[in-house]
Amino acid sequence: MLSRDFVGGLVAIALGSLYLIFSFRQRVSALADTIGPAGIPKVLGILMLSLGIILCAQAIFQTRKSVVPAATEWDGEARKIFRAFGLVVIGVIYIFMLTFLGYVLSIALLLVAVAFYLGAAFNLRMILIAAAGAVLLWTIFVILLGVPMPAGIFSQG
Amino acid sequence: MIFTKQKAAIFLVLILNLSFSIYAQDYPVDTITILTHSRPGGGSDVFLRELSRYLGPELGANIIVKNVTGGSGASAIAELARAKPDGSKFYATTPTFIYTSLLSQPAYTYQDVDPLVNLFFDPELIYTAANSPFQTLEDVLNKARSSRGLWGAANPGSMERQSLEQLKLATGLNAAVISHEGGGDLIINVLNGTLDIGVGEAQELQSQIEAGSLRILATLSDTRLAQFPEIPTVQELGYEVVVRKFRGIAAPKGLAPELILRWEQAIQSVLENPDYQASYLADNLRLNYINHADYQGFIDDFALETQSYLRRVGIIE
Amino acid sequence: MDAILTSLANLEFYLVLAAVLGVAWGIVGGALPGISPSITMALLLPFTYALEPSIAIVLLASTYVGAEYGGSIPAILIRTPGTNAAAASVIDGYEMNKQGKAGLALGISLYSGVIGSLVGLSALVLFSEPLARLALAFTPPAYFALGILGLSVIVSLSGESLVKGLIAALLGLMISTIGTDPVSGISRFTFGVSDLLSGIQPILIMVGLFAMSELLKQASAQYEIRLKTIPRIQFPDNKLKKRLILPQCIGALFGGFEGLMPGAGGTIASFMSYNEAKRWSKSKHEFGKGSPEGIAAPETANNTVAETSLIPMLSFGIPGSNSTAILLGGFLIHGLIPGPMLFARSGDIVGDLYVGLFFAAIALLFIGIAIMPACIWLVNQPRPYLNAFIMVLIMSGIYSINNSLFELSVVLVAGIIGYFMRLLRFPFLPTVLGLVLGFMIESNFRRSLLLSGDELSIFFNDRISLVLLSVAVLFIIGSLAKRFIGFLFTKLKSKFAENTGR
Repeated sequence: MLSRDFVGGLVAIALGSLYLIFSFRQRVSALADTIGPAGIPKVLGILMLSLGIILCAQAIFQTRKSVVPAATEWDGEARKIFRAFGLVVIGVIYIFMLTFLGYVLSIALLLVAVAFYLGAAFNLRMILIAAAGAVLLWTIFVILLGVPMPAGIFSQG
Repeated sequence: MIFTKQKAAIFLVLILNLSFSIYAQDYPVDTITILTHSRPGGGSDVFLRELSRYLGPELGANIIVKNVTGGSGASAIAELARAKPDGSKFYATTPTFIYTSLLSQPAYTYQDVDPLVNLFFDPELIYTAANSPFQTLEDVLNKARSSRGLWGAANPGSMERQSLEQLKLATGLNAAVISHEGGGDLIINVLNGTLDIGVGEAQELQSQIEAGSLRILATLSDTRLAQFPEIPTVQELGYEVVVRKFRGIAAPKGLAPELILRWEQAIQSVLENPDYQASYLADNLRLNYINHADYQGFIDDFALETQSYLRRVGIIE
Repeated sequence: MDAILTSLANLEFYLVLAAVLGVAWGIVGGALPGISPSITMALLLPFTYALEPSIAIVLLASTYVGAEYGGSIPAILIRTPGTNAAAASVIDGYEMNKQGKAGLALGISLYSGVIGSLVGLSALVLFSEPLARLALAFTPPAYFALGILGLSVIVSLSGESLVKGLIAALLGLMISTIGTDPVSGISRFTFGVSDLLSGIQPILIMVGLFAMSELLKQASAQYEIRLKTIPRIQFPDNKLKKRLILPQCIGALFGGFEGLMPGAGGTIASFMSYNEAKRWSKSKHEFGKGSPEGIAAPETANNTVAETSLIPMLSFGIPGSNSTAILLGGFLIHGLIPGPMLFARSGDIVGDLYVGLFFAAIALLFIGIAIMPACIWLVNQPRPYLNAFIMVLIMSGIYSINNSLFELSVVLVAGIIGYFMRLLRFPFLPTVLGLVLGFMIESNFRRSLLLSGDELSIFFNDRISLVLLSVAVLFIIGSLAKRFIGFLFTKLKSKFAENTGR
């Protein structure tokens, strides 16, 4: 079984390589200094790559000495990641709906969706809380702070 | 929406127990937002805030100055280019918006917005610390000839930077031009002797000049300044470097002709307002009104000149 | 001094009122994630036109004081730093909250904030002139060295694995390279997205890493355990107060100095003082697990910054941070030009400002106490509802920074990154430090080399730079040695256990 450190090392290697590729593609202007806009990024990319390799090596070394209990390492993580992913999806939907539905309606729906997703019972109380919360936040951000929140299609301006 | 931004304003004002007048005539929107790439307290920011005090009542709307500092103007241009041309959003132009358009090739450039009117030219000064050994620009150049010149500009892709690069070309010297994150950083590095000279607007240097901690060596304008008649222009000193830092307003493309007219009239009458005149003269701004019909041409010429210059020295392809 | 006495003698009711209202407004703005102190102040700016100059300036300066404290409220209660500078208080503040000691955590934060304000104010009033000279002594190599000293903290903040800490820091440094190149002005890693041209603001990453990832983690948690926190503010008792003196001194020291430097803005001081407080503490093991000292140090620091950052602003007219830039705007609106001449020409206004700031510190104490029960009541609500409100608050606050949907997605992505960093057990703090310090380090490194003509000796010829770099090197060697000894020690112990086990 892969240890967390090994996976972390792999991610670092991937990230470092990707970043390094873009660093080498960086356009340079004649106004640049000796180091140039790509200089520091190249160093960062190489460091990231090397540290990723070191972390992987350490992880293999440790697994061989069985310091990390490997078998139960990832138990139950898939379900947790799936649950977290659900919340991200709610967030993404909110971002897409915001300009369309307008601020007040969007946050009311977001409140209901998140509270329900996290296990609160769907009832009148929830709807009332969401409505009150939406009006409260609208008062703070739009009225008090003057933030131009999207009005949405149901509003006449 | 029942509550408008004005109501919000009234609400706050009531808390603060103040009197405040609301302007609500026939301007199509209640609130005009003017974007600037300058930080709060920076050159364009101060210019806009001062202007909006007089311009707001003239137009019949509240004016809000919004600082969109990203990407040396690229973010502000992008926001303006994507805004609806309903008279609610404008942008304070300076050469920065052309330099950024040419140097960083952003998604939206000066060509995606409509230059509305120009108000001023803002003179740029070359200054040094009062306790530095440099008494004239020639002293600075001599130092650069004999050892290593250290010259400072406020921002990486700015007009100040360009003027110093031009000075390098005109003098044939190879001084290091060091850019900063705004005029404040630059002044500190000139004051503490890290740099030989800096380039900055008269307005941001005013308090240091009055206190005698900075010395002006030359001005990059085409003629001497009324405020500092004894300071020579760089041109007089024999180097062909002239900077025209314009200050005007740009709109999103497609602004209605009657709104354009409205702005032209409002700006002209504001410029004649004696209170505003006193204020901008004290800030060393030089009146240079250009109307909408001519401003497009002016900006295009400026951009073309800049572009050919940048190409000539190999900065852009 | 005379100016202060004159101001006190003619003390106006409105001056005190401005201080109180400013602080209250600042706490509200600071407590909302995404609404920075500078935005809170900028929102007031248009209304100051109609006010008398000194009232206007006291109102703005008090807002800054209130906002620096306000940022710690969500940091402690919902793991969301309200301001950049409050990010360091998240670590131990939220841990204390989880242990049911939210009232005490807020009390310590408030107590330290008031002390920080008063210490900073004293420095502002008494040592303005020498401190202003010190601010001038900071050159590009010195800023670079300061950034390196800040980064050196990573060695001790990395937790179990140094390699993982360094990888986390590199991630932060990489994020800081996105945007416009500080020297040539060319864009880097922006992929044609204009929203990326100005770089990614640290607050987006902080809120994502700390708050959003916590929400994601709790998406699969069980909520049977309801922890009741004491619904009233608790000030530290005398014993605890004594224990907090050292971290508060450290916080005031770092905050005091950082305020002087343009561009720093309080975040670095909070993190560095957190780290130093940990190093000099008698109970190091408590740090990260709800140490009162871990709140006291950064909270003292960021409130001290709010006062001492006025020194370069008043003395040179050079704003060091966005917040002081807004304050500068407030001066300019009233035709006052901060700088060497301000004291001579408008000494009465400076006197009023000092007096107003004193009342702001006092107001901070009372308003802070008054609003706390409500805050604690709010976070004692059922978890699903609480988390739903946190999510909505984050989404609203972040949107209001630039009205940008793009920035909302950045927070979501940062939340996902944070979630996986937790899963793979990477620490967050190095990432945040790398992000905050990366730009300062890179731009000043390259600026220094431009100044010296690519001679590295510039970093040793500049005295401040030499001192800071030496401290950083000593610190890194010390921390590495400690790690190594600790490593050997556990090795020996396990060997010993093996032998006796048989």
